[in-house]
Amino acid sequence: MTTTDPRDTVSRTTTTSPPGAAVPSEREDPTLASTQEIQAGLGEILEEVAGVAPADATPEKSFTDDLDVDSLSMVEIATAVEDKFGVAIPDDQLANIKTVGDAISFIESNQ
Amino acid sequence: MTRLQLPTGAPGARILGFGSYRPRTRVTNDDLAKRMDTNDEWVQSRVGIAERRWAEPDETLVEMSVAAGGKAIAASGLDAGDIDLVLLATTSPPKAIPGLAPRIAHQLGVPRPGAFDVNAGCAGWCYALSAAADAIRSGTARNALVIGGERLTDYTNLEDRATAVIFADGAGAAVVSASDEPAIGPAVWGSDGDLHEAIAIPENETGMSMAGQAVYRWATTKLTDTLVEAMRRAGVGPEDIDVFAPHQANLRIIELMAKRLKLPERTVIARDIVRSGNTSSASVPLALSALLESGEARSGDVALLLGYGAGLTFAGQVVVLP
Repeated sequence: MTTTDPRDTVSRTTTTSPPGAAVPSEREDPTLASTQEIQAGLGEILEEVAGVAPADATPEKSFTDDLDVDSLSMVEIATAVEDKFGVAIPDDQLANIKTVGDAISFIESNQ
Repeated sequence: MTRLQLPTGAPGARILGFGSYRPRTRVTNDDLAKRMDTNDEWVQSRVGIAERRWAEPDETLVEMSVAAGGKAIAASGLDAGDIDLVLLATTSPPKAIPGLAPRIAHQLGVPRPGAFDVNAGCAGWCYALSAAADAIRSGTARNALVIGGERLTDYTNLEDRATAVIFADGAGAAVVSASDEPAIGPAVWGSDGDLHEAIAIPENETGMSMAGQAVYRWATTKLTDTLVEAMRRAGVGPEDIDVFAPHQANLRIIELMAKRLKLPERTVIARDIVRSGNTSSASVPLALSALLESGEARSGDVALLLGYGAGLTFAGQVVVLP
């Protein structure tokens, strides 16, 4: 394998931080939730708001089509996300969040 | 400087009786499904409405308000001649001029009362109830008739499934009178004018539009504090609330508010929206009338009220039921 293998490059930049970096990467900031923590927390919210079984709240699921979450429940989810993660999801952004994975990404990049 | 005199007001104000008018024509979700792309399951799960009343042409805002007001006067034990203040809370008058309260008072035989309309969206009746109680306590009125009347269907595109399933017509009223014991608590009222476009008739349109998610978010996150403060200022807590009667906008909002307030199991929650739809400023007096008629609420019960809507406006208060 050469160092120019694109898969290798992607793998390195997303899973490891540069050795000896002065500033820790976002992923290592202890005040931020990890992807797993966000998914688990979102699962709890989905169960509370819409009665979705935690095992069903996987990233590829569509809120509307797969989990039967309607537009008003999406508002409740947004409110609960703000309470839990301190991340506000405005109504115009809420419209772009179609899947559980979209919500996880939004929280991750805005926390 | 000349010192002006002020009248001696009453120690408190209380509601003496309610009256209501529900339009004759009942419109079910199945009826609506025949004229637009909607269905009973969708409407019930989103807003909790099973049916609503739509006024016929002869059921004008004035006629419905007179009917409700007349019943409230009869229930109060007073005569029309005793009333000296008439308030009509409405957001759907047929014309801007004149206000309708003087004409309603005239038709009821109330002689030359102070009379004016209040447009505070769906919070109108709670605003007007507070204005009436304050007038009585300050001595500028002795007995007030407070009506909430709406013909929202006049301002709703009845082919628009987003709003036609929600808005409806009707009138409710109460007579408020001076009393030694305060039985209407102080209103906690306010407005969020930055959200003025959330419920509005858009430019060049005749029907209302509503930003459903924005209003839902506002109602379920901002108004619990209003209700808590209304209880605090009246000197009661959730455990004292016998009846919770918020504006009937959406059953899910009602249930969420009740849950967040941690009201006791025994508290009767007004769910008049199920059969009446959203009647804006008529909804709180219509809901209270229904609960008193059915016996679910009783004389002496402590009721927590909340109006909220276009503006956006809100007003909460605690009252003792007649």
